[in-house]
Amino acid sequence: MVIKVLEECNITPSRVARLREDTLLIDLDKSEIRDVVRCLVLEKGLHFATCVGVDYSGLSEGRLALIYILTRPRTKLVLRVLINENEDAPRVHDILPAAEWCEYEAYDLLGFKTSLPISDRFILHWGVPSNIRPLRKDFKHDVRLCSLASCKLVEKEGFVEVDPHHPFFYEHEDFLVKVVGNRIVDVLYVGSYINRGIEKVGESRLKMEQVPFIAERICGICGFTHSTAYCQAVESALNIDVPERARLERTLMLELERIESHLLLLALVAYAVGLRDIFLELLRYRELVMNACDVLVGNRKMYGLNIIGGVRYGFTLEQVRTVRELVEKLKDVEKVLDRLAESENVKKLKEVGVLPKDDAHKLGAVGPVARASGIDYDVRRDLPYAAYDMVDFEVPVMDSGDTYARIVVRYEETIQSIRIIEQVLSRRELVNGEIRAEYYSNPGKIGVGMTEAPRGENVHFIITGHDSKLYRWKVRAPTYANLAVLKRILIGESPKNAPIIIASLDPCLSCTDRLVKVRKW
Amino acid sequence: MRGYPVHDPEKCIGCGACSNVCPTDSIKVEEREGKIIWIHNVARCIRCCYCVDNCPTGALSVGGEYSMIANSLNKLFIVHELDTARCVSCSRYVPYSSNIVSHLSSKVLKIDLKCERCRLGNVLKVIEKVREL
Repeated sequence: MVIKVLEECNITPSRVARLREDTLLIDLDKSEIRDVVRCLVLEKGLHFATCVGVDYSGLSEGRLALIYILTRPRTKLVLRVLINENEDAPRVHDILPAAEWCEYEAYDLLGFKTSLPISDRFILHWGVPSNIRPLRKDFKHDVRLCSLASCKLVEKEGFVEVDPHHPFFYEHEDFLVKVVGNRIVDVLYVGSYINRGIEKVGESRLKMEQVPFIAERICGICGFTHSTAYCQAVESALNIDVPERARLERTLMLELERIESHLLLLALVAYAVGLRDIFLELLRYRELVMNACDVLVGNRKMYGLNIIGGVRYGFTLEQVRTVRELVEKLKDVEKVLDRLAESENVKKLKEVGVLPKDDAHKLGAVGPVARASGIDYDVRRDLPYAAYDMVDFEVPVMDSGDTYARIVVRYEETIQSIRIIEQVLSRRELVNGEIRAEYYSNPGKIGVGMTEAPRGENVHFIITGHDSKLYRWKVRAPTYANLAVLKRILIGESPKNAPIIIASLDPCLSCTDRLVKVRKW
Repeated sequence: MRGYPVHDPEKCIGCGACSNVCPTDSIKVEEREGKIIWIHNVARCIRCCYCVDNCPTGALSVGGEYSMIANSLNKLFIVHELDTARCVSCSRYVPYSSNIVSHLSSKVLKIDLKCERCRLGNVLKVIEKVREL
């Protein structure tokens, strides 16, 4: 199937290398990549996941590469474009807007030669000298950017916001909304305030087996999905078969995390539309999930459960019984969610912030945002990982693409998650069997790990290096892809709806910017 | 609630496995003048308790205290000193804790622990004798 689609896009089967059952690697020439991406994504409808810049100088070939990751059901395509140092960088973002951020990020952090009319810096501060490219292999991980060379603060025209950011959002971000009359005409998102280069730390200082704990700290709400995606990437690269018990345990924790994240968002939506009783009730139900996590792994958040090749703890029958009781109580949440979805305050959000299906595909929206716009794509079903091929669940999809649909999709996903948890808890393999597989490290292997985080598809890309370390680690959090749709859904709306429209994307900015700092002491 | 790891200096052999696996470098095992010093910076610890999994003698265990409140930065460090063993011939310090010596000699075999200089000295004597011959 895939081979046929590739042939229609002028890629002969002899050029396709199979990394693992579901992962294909294709080396492309710089002149081809635009046509191939246009054909595969815009005509054949493949999903564009992300792109990764790699400095190959440490692994034999002394060249730069830009790697594009595309997916279709049961297949991950890794398109690699190797270029020389003095060549112009490959570029597809003018035909595919979804690639814009990841390409700019690669240009900024690796120093590709470009002839773009944009400013040099995208992630880093614009005052950092242009010879500093942090993800190059000759750049040390423990230096302060500005102690290296004289960081001149370039005087740049801009606005200074004296008042605090909108109280609905608590993180380090800035949504600049331009208004004419009672209509939004332009939106600018300013982010990357807290990018501390976790990828660099993972590549240089940490051993491969230590990274899951740091990866878990990328996000405060959906951390476990990051460590799972990372472990899956390494397991795919090194061909490790994870035992069934470990896969079931991962599924259980991932679904508990999804319920917890969705209930938090729905509670905040209830608060924002003025339904404080529902806000409090939903948070009370969320507490049950937190307690279940506490019973299983000893922590309410940051489970520290994942490890390459399996999990650290095996759940006992007693723990599983306690969790089953808690989940039984959790089922009543459906009544509260019904009240939320049927209240007039939420129904007002129909036809607000509409994202059509075509735009959602082009801009690369993922997760509940894409599913509310009619894109039937769920990593759990289409690229099964952990134990999702052993359980039965539905993927809720809505066609209207408005704010109300994004809220209802999350509500239905919560119900499906409870269903999955019940199925996992009733399986006997959850408490019997091996929890960990042995593995050996090999340098130069490519792996892509994907999970369906509560906010959407989460991509971890790794290349293994020498000394059981990573050579390259790239994290693409779901909000990174979803923020691209901001302009499309906000322009034309009334500014009073802006906070609830942005909140319906469930933005998680610490995921996007990847704040983790590990320094010597 | 999973707290920061609790260290038992009676059982610790100062091997440094915990500091090797710690993802945030919060544990350090240093050797100074006749002592092996185990330092834990609780402020850096992320409570993953991976050190507990990797401790060979069970000297580390998952604690119940999650937060640590202190009025100065120095109080956030847990510092334990372990005695090092002495060389049996010259009674200088060797870079092993006395716990590992008793641990090994109780389990495996009786060892006569000598410092590097004594061992090297013996080797040099042998070499000289060989030369003379």
